[in-house]
Amino acid sequence: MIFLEAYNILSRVLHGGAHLKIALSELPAGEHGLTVKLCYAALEHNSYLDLCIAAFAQKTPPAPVRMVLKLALSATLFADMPRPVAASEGVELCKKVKPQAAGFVNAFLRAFDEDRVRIPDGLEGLAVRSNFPLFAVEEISARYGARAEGILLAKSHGVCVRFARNMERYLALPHEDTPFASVKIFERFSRDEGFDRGDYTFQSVGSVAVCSVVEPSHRLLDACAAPGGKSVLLANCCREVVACDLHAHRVKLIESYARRMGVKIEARQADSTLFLPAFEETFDGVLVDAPCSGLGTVAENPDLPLNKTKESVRALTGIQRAILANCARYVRRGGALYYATCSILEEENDGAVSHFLEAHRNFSAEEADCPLPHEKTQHGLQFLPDTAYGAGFYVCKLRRRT
Amino acid sequence: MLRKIVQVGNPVLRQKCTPVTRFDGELCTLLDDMKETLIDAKGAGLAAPQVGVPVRAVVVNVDEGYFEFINPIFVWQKGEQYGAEGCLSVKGKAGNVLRPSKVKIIFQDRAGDKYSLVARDFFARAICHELDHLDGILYTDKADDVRDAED
Repeated sequence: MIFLEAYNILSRVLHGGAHLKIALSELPAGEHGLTVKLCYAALEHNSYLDLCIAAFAQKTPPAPVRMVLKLALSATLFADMPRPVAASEGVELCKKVKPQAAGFVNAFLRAFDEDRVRIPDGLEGLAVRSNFPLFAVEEISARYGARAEGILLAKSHGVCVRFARNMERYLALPHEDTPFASVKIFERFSRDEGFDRGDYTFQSVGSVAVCSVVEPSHRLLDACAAPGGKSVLLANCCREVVACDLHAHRVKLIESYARRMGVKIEARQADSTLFLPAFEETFDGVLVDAPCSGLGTVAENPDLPLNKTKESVRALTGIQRAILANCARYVRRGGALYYATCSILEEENDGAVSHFLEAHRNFSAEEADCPLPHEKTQHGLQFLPDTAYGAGFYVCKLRRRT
Repeated sequence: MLRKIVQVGNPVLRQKCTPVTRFDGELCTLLDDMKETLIDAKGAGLAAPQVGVPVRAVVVNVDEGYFEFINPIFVWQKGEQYGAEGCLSVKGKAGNVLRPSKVKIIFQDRAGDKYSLVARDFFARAICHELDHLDGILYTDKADDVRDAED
């Protein structure tokens, strides 16, 4: 029953709202190579697998059967498992989760022929191949034209590690350099005691790029800080860093991150949409790394496109705007407000900034630069997954007038 | 029949091998030849690409016995062991490699029947080394100190 573990994870992610990385991290100790591989493959190709199922099933099978088929198809299409082996494992799993469908699963997997799966043309086809929701494909295509395909199909480059010290110990492992000397992307990287010592941390090159735009200052607020990667990095160049997060349990993550990396940060629980009088005009810099769709990090998180709709993104923009407007009040005269996301959607990026600037005439966008390849947008920098090592982030620097 | 073991530099050692789909006489001949070649070379394992055939088949000869793994896949890998390895395709060299101490694989036999197996210690090391070959990986990619071997 080698698919059962993957089935349980997939079921929680597809139908229980769980996050893939968190669900995988809750597995009992030990490595779970096949489970991890199958879960990533099934989610990365979720739209394509739905198409495969539709092509060979008369009517839509119930959810458990669809998951069995997705796992068996992933195993054979993306994990080198021979079809007969995947079919017999699929049938075995089906007997456990939906016994009456075992015959159907068997017949399906034997009849399945990938050459007969027709991917539609145009943007709908790109949505299937990239696993992005159609509305996002349409937006990216309208904005970037022929480049859209590269942006949407960009793959993860590997495990991105930022070193605080002892980097040379790891450089014999196959890796790729990034524009940041202390950030390397490894093909494979197993966490060792160096992690607990704070020699390094796992941080996206996009997150480091956002930090590189933040100017050194005396007092910085990171308004949506958990798990704390940016706060910890910025503590190197800002004398005092206050890191807030909405959830108390996430504030603990910031504290343990800072402790592990040996930096001092003041972490506190706060809702950044609500005004704290004590913070008014007290920060040289305020970073709003807003909650967002995350559609810039799909290469790393294949579960992110699930249930993302135009409406769910619109609901987020309300929160983004509220946080930005509130946190602007914490910036002292002449100070800087930074707005960042890990999204590639205009509405969450320049859109949010435009909306902010219309209502805040005392702020203006300031030119920023960054060694990580990017596009200059109306107000900020857009890092795109095809050129920025798989990371689709956005950052904008806003200056408050003196 | 003994087959020639290809040496590092030959591109066949660097390619991703294709799954075996036909369990026929040709496969049997390949496996018989690999066994003979492995025993002749006094090795612990041999992968099909090492005799120039880029398909997913390996043979292993260890204390636990002689094994043939067709289309092997890791189910999980646990623990760690650090120790010396050599390779029949990288003659005269040895190096230390970090490997899991225990692995579970599923595989097919030469008839196409499906099995699973848990291996420990050196057996696990041999399996990891041979399965890497099927993805174009050599132990020298992972070893931290490849040196000239004594024998």
